[in-house]
Amino acid sequence: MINTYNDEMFGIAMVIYLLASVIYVVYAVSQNKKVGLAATLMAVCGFLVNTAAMGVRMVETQKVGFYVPLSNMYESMVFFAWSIMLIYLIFEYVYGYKVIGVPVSILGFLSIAFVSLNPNISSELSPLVPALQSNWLTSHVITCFIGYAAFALSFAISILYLIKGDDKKSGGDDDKPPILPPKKVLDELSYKAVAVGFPLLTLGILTGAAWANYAWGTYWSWDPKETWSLITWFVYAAFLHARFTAGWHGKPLAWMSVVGFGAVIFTYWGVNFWLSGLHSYG
Amino acid sequence: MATGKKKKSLVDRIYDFLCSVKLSLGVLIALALTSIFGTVIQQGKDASTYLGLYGETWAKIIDIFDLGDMYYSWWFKLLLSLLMVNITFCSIKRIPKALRLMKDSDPVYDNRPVAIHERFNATSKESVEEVAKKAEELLSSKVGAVKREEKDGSIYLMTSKGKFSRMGVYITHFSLFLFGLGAIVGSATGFKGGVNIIEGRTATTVYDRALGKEVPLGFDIRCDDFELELYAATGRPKDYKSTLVIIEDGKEVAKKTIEVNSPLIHNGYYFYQSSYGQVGVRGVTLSVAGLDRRYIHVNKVLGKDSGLVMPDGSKLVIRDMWKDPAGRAPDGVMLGLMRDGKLVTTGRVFAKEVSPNMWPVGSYLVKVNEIDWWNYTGLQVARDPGVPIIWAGCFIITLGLMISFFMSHRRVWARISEKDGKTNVEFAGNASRNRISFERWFEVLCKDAQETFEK
Repeated sequence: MINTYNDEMFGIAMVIYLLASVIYVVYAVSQNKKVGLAATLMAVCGFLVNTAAMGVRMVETQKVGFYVPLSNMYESMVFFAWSIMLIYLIFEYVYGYKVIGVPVSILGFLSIAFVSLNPNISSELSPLVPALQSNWLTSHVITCFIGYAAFALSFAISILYLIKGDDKKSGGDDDKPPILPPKKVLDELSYKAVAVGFPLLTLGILTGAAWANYAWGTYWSWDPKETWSLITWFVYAAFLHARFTAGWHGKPLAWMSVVGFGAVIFTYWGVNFWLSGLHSYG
Repeated sequence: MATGKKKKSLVDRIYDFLCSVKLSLGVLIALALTSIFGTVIQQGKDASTYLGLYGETWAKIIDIFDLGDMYYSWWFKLLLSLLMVNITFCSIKRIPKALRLMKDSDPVYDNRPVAIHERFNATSKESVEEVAKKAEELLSSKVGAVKREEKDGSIYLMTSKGKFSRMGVYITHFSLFLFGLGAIVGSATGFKGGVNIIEGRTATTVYDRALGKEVPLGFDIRCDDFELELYAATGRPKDYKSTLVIIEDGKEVAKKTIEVNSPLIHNGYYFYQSSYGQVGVRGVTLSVAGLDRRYIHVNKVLGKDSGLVMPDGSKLVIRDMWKDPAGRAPDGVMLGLMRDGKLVTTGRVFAKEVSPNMWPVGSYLVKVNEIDWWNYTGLQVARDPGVPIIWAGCFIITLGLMISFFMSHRRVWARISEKDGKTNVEFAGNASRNRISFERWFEVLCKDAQETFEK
């Protein structure tokens, strides 16, 4: 096995995400602005270490023949962690609801932990098999995974929506503001995340089809991976139509986001673990 | 009073149903749910396979609902068609309204049912006419062409931006028709098949998967060379390459070394590298030792039709490639020892990755450094005239989604009127979506307005 530094760096990013989630929890409970700032700084720090680790890994691939490290379960999961932190930090910057940082940094932590603590998933650098040697690889993986990350964010927000009790009519006798943002805001943000994810998933499917046409001789072959990505697309298409055209809000939509993310997880992991097909790399 | 509400006719009710978002949601969810079957049940197997895998009852269900080929079954196609019908009716119903909203340029907004999302107010000492002129300049430079109207002593202005975004959703939906059309064209006129060509040989026909037989393509394909490259570090495959030549009327018209991800294209036919295998041995690079393990020959190339002379006068020759009938052992080479033109003995040898790496042939030990296989290349052949339509669909759906999600129709009205000897100017704004970014945009506009009017 080739000695590499990137795995340790991903490990550090993982620990920082865990710390960030703890600080976000402290912030949520205390509503202390300084704690909130510390949480954000911690999350940004984890994101930067994650970014650096991907850069280092890319440099280290030269030991086996250079490639963009987005080609297997390990590399895509650490990229997924990076993507969800990126989208969340943009959301935090634009809309400013830090409580969402709690589930998101836990997701960031879990996705790195899942691959680096799992003995069955190798972090070894492995040069690309012939099917993956294509310029489509980078655009296909990036669009899919940032899309998945946006859906994960929507999922995290929907979970907050579902565990939150009804909004109080007025301030009442509470001297503290509520821990979670108003349900209306959560509902809106969950939709915003889907609105980012849906075009990206679409692009991910299209780049996949274009690539398949060059590698497998057909743009669509109802391979389990393709089919599950389409199932996910149907679910989020239904989500968008339910919201825009049918005017759904709140609970049913939050559940739909949860189901959609279930489909995302199955498209990504389930297909690889339980179903056989052409798309066996990750 | 009681007769005020008439019962809708059947046609109206069917029309309403076909337009309805309930149908869209129902079909999308049905497509999502049913698609799962095809990922769990292996597709394209025959009835006996399903019987063996799932038992009698399930095999019957699979047969009735065509679940073994479900994405091409009548009911799945029906669901897809229903989605298209739904989109068509929905578009017919909604496009006229969207067009009206796009065209809407009535500056007098205060008594119309327009949802005002943002407002701005300022007063000025200048006359109504002067303020109106300034407002018009500002709006036309920051937003777009301005329409003006006077009513009851007030001046009304209106301008808008991004009205085309109202078409985004219809553009997106239209692309789905292109995907459908592309798929139909592909399955009606396309070709899917495959061919194996031995190095140095020419194929005159290709196996047509739909017809189940060999067909000529109007040209011949020769394979000059197949090459398998391995990664030095891991020994895993790095690349499969075939050098192909297209021959038409006896002339070479095209030549390309194809690899995975880089097919040869001729007359609309795509030739993809898909598999490979060996049909024989062209030569072996080997070392030979005596039973005392002392080398007699080191790294010698033994060709198919040559021989290597041994100390005892016999000749080591290649007999043939060796294949394990059970398919368990790797492919090897059968070598022979000849003396006076007669075969004395034979022995199997394998490439160096297979241990032990010294193999007995008669009273010699042979170590194989490299086998020069005589290969065949497995090509997938496809011609799909529907593909350009699919690409057009890809382009249009991307465009449509960008317009739908990232653009909005922003309308701004202004009313300039006199109030208590001062000129009052009011801005009102409305956005078709993305209210938060509209709010910011409107704020910037108002800042500019503030500076303009308070100068």
